[in-house]
Amino acid sequence: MTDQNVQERAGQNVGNEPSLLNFIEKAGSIYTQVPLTGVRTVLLEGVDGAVRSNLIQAEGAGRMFNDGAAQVDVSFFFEDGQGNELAAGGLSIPAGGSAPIPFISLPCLAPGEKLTIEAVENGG
Amino acid sequence: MTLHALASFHDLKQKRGGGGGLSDGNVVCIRRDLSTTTPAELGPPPGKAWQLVMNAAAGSVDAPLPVPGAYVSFDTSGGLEISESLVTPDGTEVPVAVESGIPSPGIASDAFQSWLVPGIILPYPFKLRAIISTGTPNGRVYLAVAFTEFDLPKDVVTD
Repeated sequence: MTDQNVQERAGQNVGNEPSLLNFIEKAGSIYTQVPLTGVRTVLLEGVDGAVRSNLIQAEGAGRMFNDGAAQVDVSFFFEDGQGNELAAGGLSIPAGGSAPIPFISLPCLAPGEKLTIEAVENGG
Repeated sequence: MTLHALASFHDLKQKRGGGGGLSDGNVVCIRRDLSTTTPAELGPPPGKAWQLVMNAAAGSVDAPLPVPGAYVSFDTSGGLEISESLVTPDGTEVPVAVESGIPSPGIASDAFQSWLVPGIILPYPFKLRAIISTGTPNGRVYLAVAFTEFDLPKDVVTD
């Protein structure tokens, strides 16, 4: 939980699945409500003691849902752990629509590395 | 009104505590900045072997996967090419692939060519070497890889 968003973490142990090398220890999702005020919100963050990874190809293992009546412009950022914030482009989501999170097909996030998101309503 | 974002993740096994490095079945996450001048190298330490962590969801060792071995590009100039080579135990550099179509701009990743598939085990002292061979990046471009690390059998020469 942060002061800027509602964030829930749900993990489930899948360590005994017969996947190759059985390397996955846990899996889960981050659910975040992103305010439409341009406030930067952490979407995924590297944690100590694990290699937090998104190993899903294609669209990435994430989706955004716009519950409003106007288009929303979304921007993405990557913070590399040394304080460097690297812009990552953005996209627009129509009112009532959804879109894949395009950038999280990263192999792994080291501690301190973050994927962040910000959104603003586009009245036009 | 809000934007609802749902992002999934896996936490991969990583040895707790210090000393001894990673052990069997644990995962090492590697990043190497790529440049036009100095090759980036990566490879397992003595006595160890690395195997690319597989995309369990894809379930195929043949498909060139966007992850987990990938070039991540923040380049805004476009047109980059990255040359990969395999460095053998005697130091010979064997060209293995040239990556093109590196996404630009933004956080995006481009897969290794299919030569480095999850079935390939890279033992010490083999190394992977990569350099930006065409173009000059405007922004950071790096190699990001997730390997699982094994102990090499005792009958394999490791030094």
